[in-house]
Amino acid sequence: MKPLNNLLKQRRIFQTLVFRDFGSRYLSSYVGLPWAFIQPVMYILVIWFAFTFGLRGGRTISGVSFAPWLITGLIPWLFISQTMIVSANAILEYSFLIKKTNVPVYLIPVIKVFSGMIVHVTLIVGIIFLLFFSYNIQPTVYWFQIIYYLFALTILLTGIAWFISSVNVFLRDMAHLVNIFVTMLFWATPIIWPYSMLHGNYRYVALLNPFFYITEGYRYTFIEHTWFFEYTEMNILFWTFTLSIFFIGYFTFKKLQPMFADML
Amino acid sequence: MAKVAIRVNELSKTYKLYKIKRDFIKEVIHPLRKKYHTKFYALKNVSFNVEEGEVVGIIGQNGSGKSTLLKILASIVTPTSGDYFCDGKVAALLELSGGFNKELTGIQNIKFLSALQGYTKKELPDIIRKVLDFAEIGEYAYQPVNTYSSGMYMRLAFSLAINIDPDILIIDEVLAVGDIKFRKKSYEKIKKFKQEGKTILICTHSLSVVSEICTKAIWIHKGKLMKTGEPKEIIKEYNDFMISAKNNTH
Repeated sequence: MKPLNNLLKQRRIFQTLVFRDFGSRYLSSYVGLPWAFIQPVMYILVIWFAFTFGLRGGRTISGVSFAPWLITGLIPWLFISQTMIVSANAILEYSFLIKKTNVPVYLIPVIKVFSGMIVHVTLIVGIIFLLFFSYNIQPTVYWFQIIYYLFALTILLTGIAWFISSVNVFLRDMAHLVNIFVTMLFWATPIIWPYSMLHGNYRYVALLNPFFYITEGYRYTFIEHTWFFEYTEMNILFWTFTLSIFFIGYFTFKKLQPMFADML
Repeated sequence: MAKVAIRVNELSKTYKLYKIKRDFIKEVIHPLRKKYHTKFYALKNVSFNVEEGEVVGIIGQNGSGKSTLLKILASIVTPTSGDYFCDGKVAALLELSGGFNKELTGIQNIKFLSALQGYTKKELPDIIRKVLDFAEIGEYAYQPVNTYSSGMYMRLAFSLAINIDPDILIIDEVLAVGDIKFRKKSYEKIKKFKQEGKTILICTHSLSVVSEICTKAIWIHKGKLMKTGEPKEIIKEYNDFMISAKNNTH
């Protein structure tokens, strides 16, 4: 049972790394763990405030009030943007392990995805309660789709994290580029503005964007009550992109990894 | 003949040196693959075998490639060519910081690093106890590692390395920062390891250590293997070589 044993051992190692990473992100500050949630909640409140009382004037989108619609799109985006930004420096951050122990290096960017996932899943549970108690939106069988979307998001982010973390070891400029890219994507993706604003071929601005698949998917799940497989074109585009990114990320990482210890 | 524990075959490691950082990018994107680097051999065609239960001392002047060799054997640095094989679990103590997360306390680091070695939660209290018993760092175990002196640092790193039950122990010139008492204790422990049939690789400038506890010595000079054999003989030759003024200057 050696292979199985090995797999279990790897899983245990991975778990340790994820929880340690989660811990060290927040536990060194005085307030500690609450920061993990204060930050996204404040962010959402600010956006919500700006749009409700400023730009939008509290209109409704797809029949539900603005706040739940906004929140369901913003929460996956917060996870995506945070993960991209922190994974850029993942290898550098863990150089103390890479240079001194023979930890499985390819797991390190993946740690960043999963330690962010802890906060993310908690926030999803938060949405569920909010929808249920404040907006009286009843749970439906569509809500189970969230598992599918979490899986899709994990594959997408893992590929991206492998790519940017390994390139950033050699080109430290990567981290800066990612920061700009994330800001641009935030406005280019229909997160705080509805997809229905795009017409004709402009729709491809969103359809070719894998993050839109995710943010819109969360809305299908919690608010619009449609299944992910109802949109063939969107699925084909998303999975083509995501699987390509996953393999590009994997091979870039494998190619660069032997040189990490020399560069760090 | 005893079983071979470490086999090193034609191992080389080259580093590409760039005059400025930008040259690296230029090289990567150059359409005609023009080379902008100069090659530096840290190790050149090194081959040797180590048998189970041997204590091997690696000697050589600064920058001779000793540490690179140990880093390769600990599978941290990838060799440019050649191959190596280590039979069993390897624990490495490379330079001082030994993989510690500086913001965590000593105990947290022990927990984290032994969990990375695949130990389960149940086994952790036992390991922590053993490591702390050997390290004797007292209350500092509860303090972040960045408050440690280099001696304490080494005590913790060494205690951890010997307590995760390795088959092969790799030590890179770290024991020198310990006080006499701890050094003595460490050498006793190394001797005990030897008796248990474990293999130990030590790189050090302390030649008396090599002649006292090693069963074999390897002399590396500018990336090349000069000689292996009986510690006393190698040390003598190495000493003669180092003292002759001609070779003492780089």
